[in-house]
Amino acid sequence: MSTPAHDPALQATLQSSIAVPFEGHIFRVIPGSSIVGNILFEHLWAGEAAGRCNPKGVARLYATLERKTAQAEFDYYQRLAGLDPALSDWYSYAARVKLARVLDLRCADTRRQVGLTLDQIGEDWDDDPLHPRAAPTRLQSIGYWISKGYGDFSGIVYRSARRRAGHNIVIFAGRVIGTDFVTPISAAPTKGWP
Amino acid sequence: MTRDPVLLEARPPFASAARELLIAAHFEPVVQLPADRKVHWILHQVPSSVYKTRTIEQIFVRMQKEVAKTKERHPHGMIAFWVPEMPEKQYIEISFKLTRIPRTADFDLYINVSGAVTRFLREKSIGRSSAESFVLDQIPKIDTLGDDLRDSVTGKLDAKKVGELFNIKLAALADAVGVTRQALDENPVSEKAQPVLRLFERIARLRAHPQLSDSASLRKWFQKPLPMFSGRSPYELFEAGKLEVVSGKVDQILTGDFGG
Repeated sequence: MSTPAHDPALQATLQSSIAVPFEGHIFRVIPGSSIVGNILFEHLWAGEAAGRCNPKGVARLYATLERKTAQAEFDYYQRLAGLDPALSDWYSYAARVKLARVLDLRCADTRRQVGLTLDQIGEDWDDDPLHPRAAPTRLQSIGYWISKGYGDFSGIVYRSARRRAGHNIVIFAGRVIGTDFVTPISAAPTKGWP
Repeated sequence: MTRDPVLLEARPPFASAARELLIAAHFEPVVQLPADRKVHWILHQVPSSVYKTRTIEQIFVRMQKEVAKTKERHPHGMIAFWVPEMPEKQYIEISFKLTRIPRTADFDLYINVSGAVTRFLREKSIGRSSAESFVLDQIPKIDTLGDDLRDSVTGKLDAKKVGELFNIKLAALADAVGVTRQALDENPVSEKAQPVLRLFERIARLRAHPQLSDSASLRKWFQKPLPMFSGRSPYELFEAGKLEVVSGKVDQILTGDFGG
């Protein structure tokens, strides 16, 4: 998957898209391992792998808005990796978050504005490693341009593909500015929920 | 996107030129590292006192001492030794001598900083080993998880040990590295093999996961077709030259990065 091509139309759309504030808690589940205690919340910002809302190379943090969604995302991902989540010990991170401007794709008007349907948000984004798609998905392109500052957003809130009524958030490193904050409840992950 | 740090151990007036070239190559030159930060690439300027006004034999001995001292400080880093004031003829003579010693004792010597920076760039693109793109690379002492894959003398990753852990024939590893089987057999810690072996080292971090903590489980996992790889096994991706995809996913598995 490549970086999105220059897209003045999408950039202009983002500049005028509806922004809403977000304040609340976010969650993430991590497998128990011999190194889990050393993986601090701050380290998570270094993740640059491709995700639903970003092409590879964009530093970002994925989390969920509900504990149950974090568990569902964890279970799904462990299964993808050939591991049995039922046998996995797990830990969690929780953080308090306040962001002045997020792109809230739970809102139909916002989706319409940026040209996305719920189906497109939930579509499979991960590449076949031997046949990577030629261009990022529209949602990945949106995330990419947001990470570059278009629309002055800090992140995107969207529906989880793994849990009905569940929601995820992606926050872009370097876009947490001004009065924004992402403050972990504890630096190291907690066994179970804090 | 964040820049990969390169530890710059250089003195004026050469340091500023090196800094400029590192920045041009989208690296971040750093002169001091906080204790909790790890750096993979080191550009070390050899003091001219090591190689000025001596015979080639003397220079070579002194150079090896300097190399040993520097490697001791950075046991797992990729160090480029830079000799900006060395006359070209002397540089070639030393380079020739380097081809005559055991490969485990060799080092990368550069007369121009551009050569060293190009080397870093090449390694980065082969291994996609950007320290910042792997969350686990940020963890202090994470390298100790792969200590059993390293040569105890040089600290470099050993192709034979990696092959044994993953049940991969040396010939297959040699293919991936781009050397002959015989060359890798003679020098399993070859500098050329390190980028590929580093990807394996990252995959071997899965042994931190209780379900894959023993070598047999890891080997089995490596051969197993997985939904994560569109039904392909990690081994198939290795064969296809896509091992960096596997090492990236391992980082995500261990950090709970579900990617949306």
